[in-house]
Amino acid sequence: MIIARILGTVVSSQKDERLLGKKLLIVRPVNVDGTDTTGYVVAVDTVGAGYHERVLVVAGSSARLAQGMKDVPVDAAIVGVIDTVDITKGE
Amino acid sequence: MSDQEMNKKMEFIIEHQAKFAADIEIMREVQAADSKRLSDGLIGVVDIVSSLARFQMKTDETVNLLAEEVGRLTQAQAQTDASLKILINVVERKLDGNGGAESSAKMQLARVIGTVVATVKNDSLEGRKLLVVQTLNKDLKPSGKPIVAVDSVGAGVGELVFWCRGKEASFPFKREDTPTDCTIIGIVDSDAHVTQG
Repeated sequence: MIIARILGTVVSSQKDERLLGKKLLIVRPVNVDGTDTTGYVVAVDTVGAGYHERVLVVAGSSARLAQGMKDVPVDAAIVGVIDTVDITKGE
Repeated sequence: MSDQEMNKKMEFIIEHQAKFAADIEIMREVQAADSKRLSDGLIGVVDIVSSLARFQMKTDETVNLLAEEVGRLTQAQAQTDASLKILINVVERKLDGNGGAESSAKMQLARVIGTVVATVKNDSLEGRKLLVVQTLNKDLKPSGKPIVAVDSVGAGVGELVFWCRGKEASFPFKREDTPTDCTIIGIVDSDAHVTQG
């Protein structure tokens, strides 16, 4: 799973009917220290995440295992809104 | 003054007059030649000026062409830069991405370096512990970027663990119901237990 930051939304009217009612968000993977990386991913929101929140994104076939995502054609899903990330230094 | 003297004087005057006339004629000729030369020279100057103007126009054209060429080059440069950036990104992701060069391996070692707290999450992740793991190479040195993993064995921060990624990551849990692509599936007793033959 990766940590990502929500960049924006995607609106798509014509889509697979199994994606009806699913919110699509553009997210950018971030490092654990909060800095941005490059690139972006379009992910289906399963938790009601909002703009600029840090979220947990699961990718690949596992994205379909989230509740409400069964048999949905998706390879990236937002499965959590991150409150904090604690990194222990000095390893 | 006698008539003779008078005649002599008159002759002298007439003679001089004729001489003057001849001189004036010569001067006229010289002047004509001069003005011809002058006009020839003028025509030459005009020719030179017009050819200079032509050269100038040609130079302007060349400069314009050069400017266009430079513009095209700049565009091409920008395109090359963009392509290069994309390439660099791809290469960086390949080299530096989650798990680095060994990311093809389904199971590898990592160090738990932190925790993630997410109150709002997908119901199917309810009660799961989330940890940040730093993937390691075979010398147990960090390689690649840290990623978030679900814990299935009760690992803690600082411990050496092994983990798997992909669809198999959900197998330790209710396998059709846990959306994880990265799960800690074992704790290595200590660093000393990692030996290489």
